[in-house]
Amino acid sequence: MTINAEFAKGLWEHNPVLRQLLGMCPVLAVTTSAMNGVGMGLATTFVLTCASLMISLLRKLIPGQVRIASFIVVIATFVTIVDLTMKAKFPEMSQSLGAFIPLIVVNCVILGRAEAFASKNNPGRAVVDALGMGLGFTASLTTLGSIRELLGNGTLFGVQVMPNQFVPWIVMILPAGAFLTLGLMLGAYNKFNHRREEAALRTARLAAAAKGV
Amino acid sequence: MELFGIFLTAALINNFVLSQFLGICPFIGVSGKLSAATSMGMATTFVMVMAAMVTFLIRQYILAPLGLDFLQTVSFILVIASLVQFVEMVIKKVSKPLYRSLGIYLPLITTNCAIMGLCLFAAMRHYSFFQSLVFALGAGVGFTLAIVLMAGIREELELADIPRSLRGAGITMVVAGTLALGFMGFAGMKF
Amino acid sequence: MKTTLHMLVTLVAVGMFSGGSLSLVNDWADPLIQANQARARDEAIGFLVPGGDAEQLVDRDGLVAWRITANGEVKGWVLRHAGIGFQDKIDLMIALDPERRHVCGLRVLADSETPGLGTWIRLRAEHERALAGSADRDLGPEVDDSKNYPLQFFAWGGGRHLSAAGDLKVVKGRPRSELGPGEVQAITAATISSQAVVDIVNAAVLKLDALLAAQGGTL
Repeated sequence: MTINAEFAKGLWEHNPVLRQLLGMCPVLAVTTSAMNGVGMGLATTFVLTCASLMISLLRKLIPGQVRIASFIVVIATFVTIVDLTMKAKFPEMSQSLGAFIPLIVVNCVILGRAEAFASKNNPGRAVVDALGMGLGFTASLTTLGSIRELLGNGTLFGVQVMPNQFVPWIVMILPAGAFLTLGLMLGAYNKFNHRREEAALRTARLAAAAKGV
Repeated sequence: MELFGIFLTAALINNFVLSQFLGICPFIGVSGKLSAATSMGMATTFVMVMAAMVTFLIRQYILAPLGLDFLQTVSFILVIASLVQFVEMVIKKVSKPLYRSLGIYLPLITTNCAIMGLCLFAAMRHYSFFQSLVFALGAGVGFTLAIVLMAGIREELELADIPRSLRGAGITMVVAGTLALGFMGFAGMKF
Repeated sequence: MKTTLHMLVTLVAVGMFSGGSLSLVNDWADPLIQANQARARDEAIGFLVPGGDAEQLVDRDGLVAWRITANGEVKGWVLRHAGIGFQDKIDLMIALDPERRHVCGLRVLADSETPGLGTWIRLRAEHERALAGSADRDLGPEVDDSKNYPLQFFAWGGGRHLSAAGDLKVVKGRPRSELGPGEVQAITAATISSQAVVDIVNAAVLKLDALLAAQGGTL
């Protein structure tokens, strides 16, 4: 696969949230606003990239039986670094994201990519893959956060967007709204993909018919 | 009475899945069949209780006295991973049929954010040993309740004509939203 | 044997990397984190009882209390206490007058109340600015709207304050002008959050009285 394809696959086709259904807990919990989505996404991308790089560099040195334990320690170390750095430099964001920063350690995206990709590829590819997945993750979080913030608060990134007469749908900020929005987003994503597949199939059949097969 | 309050809060009022958003991955993945859901719920509850106890001892007697609070995340996840390995070995030795029915779910419990979340919350709120224990029990019961409810609903939905794009995770989330709305009715209960 | 050694070496190496790097990062981050917390606390105290030096007198049972003095004169007290609200913990800072008879201010440090309803326990930005700029902390008849709940904890109607005797009660449906110093007007549709704040204030004040009495009157 080309480097570009490695990067791009995490954005849509193998999007960690919408396609692989990984790392769902932070997706629902922190997306009460678009800014929270961005913050969480970037924190996760940082951990994912550093951990993937480290694991890829050490892949030939770690014996098979202790690989999961080693991966976990490496990931947990970077998560703690991110946690401490955010508490020191970005205290308000750290407060909004709460306990979900340390919970990045059990985000299946990171362990999943480490196991499936970083431990089997060279550091360059591992980093590109991690960045793509991380960005796809961030994009999903930000989209969900934007929808919930817009409908539940009338603002986007803190800026009032909806007209003053708009009565916010508080339920969007609450858990029920999170689940509902994610479900509909999944539906939209799948529908879009199905339409694309059907269109591709139709073009292929027409091409085959034209060749007289 | 306070312990009962902690239990009930974790199980119903601040249900781990429907209110705190922990344990969503197994919630989606394992709630297809009622039997699988029940087994997963019970295994998770068991690991939760053990993890709560061990992490309490670690934070009380190792991390706090030595001022090593920043090692909390690393030590907790190692404890959970080892516990899950240990539980898997024990179940394999003690009861082969149980091991076969729980099968692949056990290793999945390691990345279940509910367990890590449980340990982190107990640490943040400085719960005592018994408070942590009761909190873990409540969390496990709440998780099992949510996952079993979802499994029951999904089994019924198998005969329904769900739009293709919503099948699987999509409709699960929509149903979860409705369940979450229902559980909001528990909010504000006082002891 | 060689593989076991290899495994052990790997685990030890990874462990050392983890422990080492985390110690370094922690040494760098810890002072910054402490400074952040101190700044938030000092800023809250400065807003609640301005123009004095805070001296921490009590830190027990979940209650932290500071006495604010300036030029040898007691300007007020600030209490920090937490309790259960509608969803989770509510963490409050409460200002009292020098004799600890009236409540003079309130700041919510942390809450997980229902957005748009329970979150009315927090001051709106414009009210906070107005209060910071006002000497007697009295925004007058504004407190009659039940959405201005936190303003009651400052002052209203020409210098009237809520009582700090631990006897506050929540009342619904009557305007502020009809209520006494022991009655707090609730937020419409957020009675539980309103009650929770009142409970925390009462508990804090009573705890402070008990602790100071045990330490032998005033300090």
